[in-house]
Amino acid sequence: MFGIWALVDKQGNWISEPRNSQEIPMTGGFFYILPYKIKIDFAAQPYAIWELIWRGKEDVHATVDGKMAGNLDWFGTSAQTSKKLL
Amino acid sequence: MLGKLLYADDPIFEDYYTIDTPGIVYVWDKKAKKVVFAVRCSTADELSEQEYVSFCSLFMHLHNDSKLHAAITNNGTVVYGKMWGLGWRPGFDKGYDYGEYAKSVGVSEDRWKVLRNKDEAMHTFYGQRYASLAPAFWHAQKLFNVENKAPFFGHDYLEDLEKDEWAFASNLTFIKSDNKGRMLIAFLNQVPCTNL
Repeated sequence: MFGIWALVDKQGNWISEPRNSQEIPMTGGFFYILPYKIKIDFAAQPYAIWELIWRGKEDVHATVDGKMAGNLDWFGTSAQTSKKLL
Repeated sequence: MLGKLLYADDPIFEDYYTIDTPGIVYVWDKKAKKVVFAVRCSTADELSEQEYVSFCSLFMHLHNDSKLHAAITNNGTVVYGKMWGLGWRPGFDKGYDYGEYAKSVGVSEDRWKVLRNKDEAMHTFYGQRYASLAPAFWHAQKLFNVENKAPFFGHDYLEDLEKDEWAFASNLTFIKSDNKGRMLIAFLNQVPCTNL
């Protein structure tokens, strides 16, 4: 699988930098790969673009529960890829 | 085996290795002798102006497209949040082909066509992002195997692979937090268990 994650507002605009010094756009909500005990801490870099390649059918994985500021969304999109890569 | 849903504060995550900084990381499985995972974190100032604009366009496009499709309710992966099947259903075999998921009842053809006219550009950018990470992924695999050196951070296609081997996107989904601000639990291929 190939996936992209980013912070967007309710109108679909990418939020690539803090809108004010007090902003905490998201808490929690990390992606993890269970067999390798790896966490991808989206909330540590909420204004960044996160792109992942992972073995969707083989490795247990998920995004755990998180919380967004009221006017924001955590955007995610994925595409199935050729198994030849993995 | 029945599992239980895991939350961010579950003790199972305490000894997990955390990736939380910009850059590219590959995960190498020693036993399998292969790269099994890759992550690229890019801040806005690390992107070119064109990349920045293209990401903005991609997110906006999918956001708008999500309004023309019914949300997915039955694929078994979403616990919180919303998910749609969007984008380009065919394309796995050739990479550059694409189709669309069906629009919701009541969406006008004109409104539909406005977004469909942008599909090719969105699809191309999406593919470029994948293609810029996948060869580096594969190259990292090769280097680890042959030389056991640091992974190559490249963006070039590898000449000894057919382009179709990078083909992507049999489908594309778009997910957002729900109306309570909760992020979804998705991309879940099975319910995680604490006793795995």
